[in-house]
Amino acid sequence: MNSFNRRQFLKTISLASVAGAFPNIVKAAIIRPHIVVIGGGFAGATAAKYLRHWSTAVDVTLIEVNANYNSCILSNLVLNNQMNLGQITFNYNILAQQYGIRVINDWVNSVDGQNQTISLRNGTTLGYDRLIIAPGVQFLNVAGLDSNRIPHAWKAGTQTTLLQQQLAAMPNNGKFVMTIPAAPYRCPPGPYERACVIADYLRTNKPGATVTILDANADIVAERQTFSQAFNVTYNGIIEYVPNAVLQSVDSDQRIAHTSLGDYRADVLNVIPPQSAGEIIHTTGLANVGGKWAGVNPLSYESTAIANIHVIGDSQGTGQPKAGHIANAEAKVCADAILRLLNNAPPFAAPVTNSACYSPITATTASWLTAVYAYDATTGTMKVVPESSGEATTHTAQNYRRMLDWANSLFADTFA
Amino acid sequence: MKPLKSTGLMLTTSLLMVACGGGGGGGTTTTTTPTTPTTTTFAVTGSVPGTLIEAFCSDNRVYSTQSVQNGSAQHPFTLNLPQGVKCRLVMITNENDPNNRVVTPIRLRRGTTTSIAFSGVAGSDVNLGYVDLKLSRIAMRADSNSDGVEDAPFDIDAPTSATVDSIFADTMDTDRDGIIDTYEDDDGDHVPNRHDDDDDGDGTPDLTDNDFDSDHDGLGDDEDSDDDNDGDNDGDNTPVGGGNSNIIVPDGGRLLASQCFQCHGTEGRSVSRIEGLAGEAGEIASEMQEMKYSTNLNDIMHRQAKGYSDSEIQAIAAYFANRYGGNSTGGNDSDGDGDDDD
Repeated sequence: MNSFNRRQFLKTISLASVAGAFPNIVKAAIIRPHIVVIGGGFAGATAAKYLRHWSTAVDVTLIEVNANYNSCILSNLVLNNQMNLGQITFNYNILAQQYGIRVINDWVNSVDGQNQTISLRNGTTLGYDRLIIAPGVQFLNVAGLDSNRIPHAWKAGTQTTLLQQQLAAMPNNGKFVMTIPAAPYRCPPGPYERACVIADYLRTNKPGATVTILDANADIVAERQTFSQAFNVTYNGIIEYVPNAVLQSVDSDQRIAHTSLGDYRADVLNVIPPQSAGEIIHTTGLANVGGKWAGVNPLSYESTAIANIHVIGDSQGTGQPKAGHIANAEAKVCADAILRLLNNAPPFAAPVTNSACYSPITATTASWLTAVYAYDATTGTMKVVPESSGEATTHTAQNYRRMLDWANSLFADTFA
Repeated sequence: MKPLKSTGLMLTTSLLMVACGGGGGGGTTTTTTPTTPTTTTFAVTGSVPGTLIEAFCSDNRVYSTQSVQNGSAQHPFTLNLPQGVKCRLVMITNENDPNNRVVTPIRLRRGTTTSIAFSGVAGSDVNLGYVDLKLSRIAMRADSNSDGVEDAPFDIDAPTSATVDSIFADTMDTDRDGIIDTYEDDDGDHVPNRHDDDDDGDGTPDLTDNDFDSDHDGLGDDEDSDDDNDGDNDGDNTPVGGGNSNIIVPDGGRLLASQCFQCHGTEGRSVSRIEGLAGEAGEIASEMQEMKYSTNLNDIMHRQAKGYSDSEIQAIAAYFANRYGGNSTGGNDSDGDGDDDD
């Protein structure tokens, strides 16, 4: 029961009735804008929360196909048994109960930007005044790849568990091989972090085992200093880093990665496929950045293709990284802008977003990476404030503790 | 407690008394004709055990008719409605007997979709068939608060000629329970809210009662000195709710400050060992400035601080200062609501 809405409505009615009634006509009732959010990850959940945190005058519906969300952040720690999946699983109960957000667990079949409606798999059609789409990424096809056997674990959940089980079953002296797609992909430091965490696990549990990183990029994409040191020093003799290795196809039976630099056979093969914006971005006609990502105005995250649709999180094509922390930041800019736009006011003209993350390097140490992005009015883009961009000089135990605090704070700011 | 704020809503006429009127449950069909010409209409037809039929529609009108006593137990009715509007049906038996009146909101069902709102196409009748309404309080399906309004709407399979309209932001059913607001009685005192001066029965008249928690911070608005979460203490004349105008803070202070929340907690209330910002209003600006100009780059906040201009740092500090009392020693936030001035 949302008694606030009803009471405010009825109170006004009773005030009006004093003025004299014309019995058969009801004049304009309250117009409550309806904002629909598709996707309940860090971007979508934050946007839904802050729309209602900042305004009680809008109705918000969050549509997410899954009842629970498994965080990709910290999910590499499930692979080395430092965490279990339940510790990074969240639901939408607080958003629904405390913030009055309507949560629907369903799949969106289609979006009609012209009529401002969306169609759900269950047959329902919903209208919206503003639509936020935050579907994350989808994985592009790789010839021969069967991700049910060769896990990517790049969306946390059953894939994470599958990879963890394969690692646990790996023989001593075994070979773990992973592939990294060309940037941009979800979580720039994530693959390198994974290589480190797994190398640490293998060093203890599978003597003689090695890690091979096949990177489609020419160099380490994020935290270059940290990971170079980790590969060359901390995991010297365990991690082999191979740049410019572009994945061409996979033999899922034999666990072979066919790359531009040759074939690599693995005992456990982890293929992180190339990515693009989530499917609904493409079917709606929003993927106007290289055919892969959604172009948006970073003042409001409104699509440059279709009015009244906003895209945040991994699917947006602003050049900001694709990761949970900055998705949360983008969501706040978007929510603030939508509330202003609904009041016929322009978005705030100088938004700032921040990216921050901690990466475990061993079972007891971590590093960090951060950058602040500011709107550049000349180019209409978000640009890194140069001095704000940097990484930890070394991985430390203190950073490992801070990593857990950072993650818990981010989880709470998003889901609670 | 503070003065009731403007809702920013303007209603010039009442949500009519027509529901309580009527012609004694019989006689001829008396369709209420709209006062301005409508374009094209369709007819909702069916039969009932004697009743008043009302349609509350999105053209801001209420259409009503009464069934025709024809000697049978099933009285036919015809209600003409305009095309292109979304209507909600309510049927009432014993409408002239306040102690035995039964109000039955109608919901249409098609497959897994149900909705109290529907529409139709001109010239195409929507025949509901026989609607099994209850004729007395005793016979009602469910009426936990004994107010004569069925607790849940009565589902009717939607005729193919009717469009079942999904409306989530339904201005006529704001709590989305399928009972339109007109017939709600929050406190179960048998006085519908629209006639009740104290909807929630807390003894405070509605006109001065404002005991909601608009900003979801756990404090009722009466106790909350910033109930619209705009960063300014109340009395700042920024409307809350309804007015749909929670935008303010032209310098972006609210938005900029929210970028601190990922690590320092929503509204600066930390849930981890990371320092909270609530109660630190006086120090935020000076600390951020210090970090911004520090040459020690092996600190994540030193990097972060370099991302903000001096004026942005001031705006962030001002946001927290306004929210948390604005004293230089930090707040004594004894009640945990973030406001130390209560």
